[in-house]
Amino acid sequence: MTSNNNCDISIAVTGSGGAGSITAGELLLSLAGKNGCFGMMRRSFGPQIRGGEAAALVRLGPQPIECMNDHFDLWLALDWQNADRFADEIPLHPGSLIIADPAAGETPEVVRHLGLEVLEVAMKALSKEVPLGRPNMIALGVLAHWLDFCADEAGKLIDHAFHDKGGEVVNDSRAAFTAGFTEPGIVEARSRRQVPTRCDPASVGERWDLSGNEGCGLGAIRGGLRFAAAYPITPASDLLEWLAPRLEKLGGSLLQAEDELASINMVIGASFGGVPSMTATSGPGLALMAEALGLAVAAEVPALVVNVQRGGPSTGIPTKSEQVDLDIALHGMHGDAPHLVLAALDHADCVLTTEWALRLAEALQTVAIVLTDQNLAQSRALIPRPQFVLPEIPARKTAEADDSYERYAITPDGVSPMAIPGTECSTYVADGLEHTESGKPSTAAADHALQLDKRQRKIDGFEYGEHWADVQGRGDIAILTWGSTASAAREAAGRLEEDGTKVRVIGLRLLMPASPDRLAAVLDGVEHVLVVEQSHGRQFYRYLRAYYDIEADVRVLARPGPLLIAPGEIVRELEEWS
Amino acid sequence: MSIEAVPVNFDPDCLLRPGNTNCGGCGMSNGLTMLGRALEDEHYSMVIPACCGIVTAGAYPTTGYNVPVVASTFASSPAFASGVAAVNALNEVDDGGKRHVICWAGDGGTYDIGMATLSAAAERNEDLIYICYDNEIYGNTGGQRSSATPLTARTATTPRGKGEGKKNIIKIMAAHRIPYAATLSIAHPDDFRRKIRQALKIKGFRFFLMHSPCPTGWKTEPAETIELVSLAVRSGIFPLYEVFDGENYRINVEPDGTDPEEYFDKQRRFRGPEMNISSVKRFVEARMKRLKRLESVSEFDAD
Repeated sequence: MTSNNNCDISIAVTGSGGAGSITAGELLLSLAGKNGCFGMMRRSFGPQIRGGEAAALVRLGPQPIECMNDHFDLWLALDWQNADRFADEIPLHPGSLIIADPAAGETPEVVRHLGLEVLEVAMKALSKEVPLGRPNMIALGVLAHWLDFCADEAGKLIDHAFHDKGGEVVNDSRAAFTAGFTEPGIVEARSRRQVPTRCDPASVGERWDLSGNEGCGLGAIRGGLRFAAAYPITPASDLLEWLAPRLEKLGGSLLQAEDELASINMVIGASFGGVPSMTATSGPGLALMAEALGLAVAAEVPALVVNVQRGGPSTGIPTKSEQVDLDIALHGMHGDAPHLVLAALDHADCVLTTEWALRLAEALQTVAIVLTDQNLAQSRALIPRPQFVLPEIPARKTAEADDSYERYAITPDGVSPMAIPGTECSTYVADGLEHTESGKPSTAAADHALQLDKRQRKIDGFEYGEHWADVQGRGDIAILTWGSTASAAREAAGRLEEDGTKVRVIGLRLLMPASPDRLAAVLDGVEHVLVVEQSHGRQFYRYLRAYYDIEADVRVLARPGPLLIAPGEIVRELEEWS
Repeated sequence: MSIEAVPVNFDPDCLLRPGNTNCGGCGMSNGLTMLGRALEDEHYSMVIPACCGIVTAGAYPTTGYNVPVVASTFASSPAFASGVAAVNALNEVDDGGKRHVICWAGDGGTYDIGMATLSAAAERNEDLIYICYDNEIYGNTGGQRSSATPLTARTATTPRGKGEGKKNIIKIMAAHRIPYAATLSIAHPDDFRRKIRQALKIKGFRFFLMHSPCPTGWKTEPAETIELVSLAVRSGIFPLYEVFDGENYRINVEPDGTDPEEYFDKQRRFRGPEMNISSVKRFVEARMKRLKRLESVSEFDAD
């Protein structure tokens, strides 16, 4: 099934690493924005530093777009190097068009066997006619013409993108763009075709060009973040790099650690010092942090970790997406260690979820883990300005000087005032040893039970409000999912609705604590529930089995990464079921 | 998958096979080639933690390496290699030929996250060879600073230049009193080969630091990699020396008075206003003087 929306176009720009396909894709997305489109761009590349393969996967349209389509309408290949490695990430349909450089040699078998129309553009040869011109700028010109985009806007974007590289690069890149834009073969081929892309810049409102990692960074800053600890790991590093200059501007700081054991302990230290703090990592890093997170839970020190999931286990597929750190985020700690686990559903949701998580961690004096994934974190989307209102959440409860101060006092809501070192307050020991209400180490059964119960009660008893899940649509069929897969589920539901089948989509945002009563209410009247997740081990399904009672018939669509779950796949699954 | 494209000069016994996708001008790749040549006819396996070195294994049909390689976790190549060395000792072969284990790790895995396991393996004097290819950044994750990044260098996480100097890793390793520690330069292949061959004859923990330009991260011309490391040796920025038993120093190549500025000028990472070339020169001179003093009080058995 191809898209029902005939104003929707999916384009892949591929090349060997360093050929500039990503730059071309990013500029194309920005250009689409200037021309009134919505859109999304994913990057696909191997683990090689350079010289591997790189693909910019772009989808554009007049409506907000949060996931890739089932098929690509156009594949522009700067060269065919390693094309077989990502061919399965670029599914084509009988009407797809290939634009390729004759200098790149024969079309590889993975594409040739489809018998598609191939337009040849001598991108390399054309680029040689401009001293500093590169084939990727020719490609951008070709695509801009194909999509009927404004060439003047493209020139401005090129100015901006290459400004730092000097005037010659800017001028020659513009010249290369123009050579592509006016290439006679493309102009002629374009005139023979209807290409449904024209969006109206005047009719769309303000849009943001945001990556998931940037969304998380922004959310954390909105939540009051002032300290971040960093240790490089793909695909979380760019979140930390984005935060560094911004925290500095706000009077905060970012500190790069020597490993993940250090980065999470820096976070706990900074938070003990009284400042909302976070780090970002990915599966293997989260595994290293597990011990310290247990300390933060026991000592009741707020801490936020954004974990950007990638293919695992171990180094796995570090540059690609999979929803497989749910188990470790929920259950990876030693001891009974109640904490919060949240997951962002789309780009705008990265802002909301991360802000919410940091505020909750502060209010409840515990650990919050936010899960995103490579697909969401490293893709860029042109989205409507994120708008949301979080419920009132109290700030961290602090203590004043008091002779009878008890850091871990048993309170009705389980939250006790936290003395901040360096302020006029009482002193205490923040300890991972089990302790009494005053913080004195204790092995007594009664103290252990009291403190375990307090740490659980503050989380279970809190009123989280309506943001626990995103629920869209009605009907007796429901798709129950989490994370970035929710976007594909929403699009699938939209297509089914056009065909007269009503589907409700439930994307869980607050995973721990679980909300069984709320989910039961939302599933009232639902007869079929399709659970959708990108994991081989059915981590989300097992989580649902552990914490919820679902009375409807349940079917599971669980598939590992790195291929994303496409809307059409969900539609097919539901059609087969009914 | 076809392997028809193998070049005609392909040596089936080389350590680093042709066809890998490492960046042009990668110092590490040059180092691997030299290491392979120095180890020809030896039985060895390699332990490589998460780093560009293990990415190297990935792109060629089957693997870029021609010896058994195990990919350890980032922090743990010396621990992993300690296990391999223990089994090598159990399996001493009848022909008397020794099985060597070689850790090949970057500066992140050595100076930072791997420091605890490195120190512990050195303290136990494990029978292994550890080579740090030092490209002075986290090259594999996009070029963030490490504790091997030099003062004022710009990286993804030090956009205004790094405010701290580089750890003296040879001094740290020498302080463990390991039998042998030395620096390696890919601009001096004879010295490189001699040191590796020498290390093979020594039992216990042997540590090497190899200067390893990263054109992608350093913002240098790939074709100038060898020129860069050569300048570093000639100007005293990267002295070639060895340390026996943690205390006896020998300088292998005397700097020829080349101005360190030439080295820095070729790298865009050092182009910030914070770069103070006169203080760098003072530092380089003082360090050379200190090395010479250490050499002068060193004691060697008659060669």
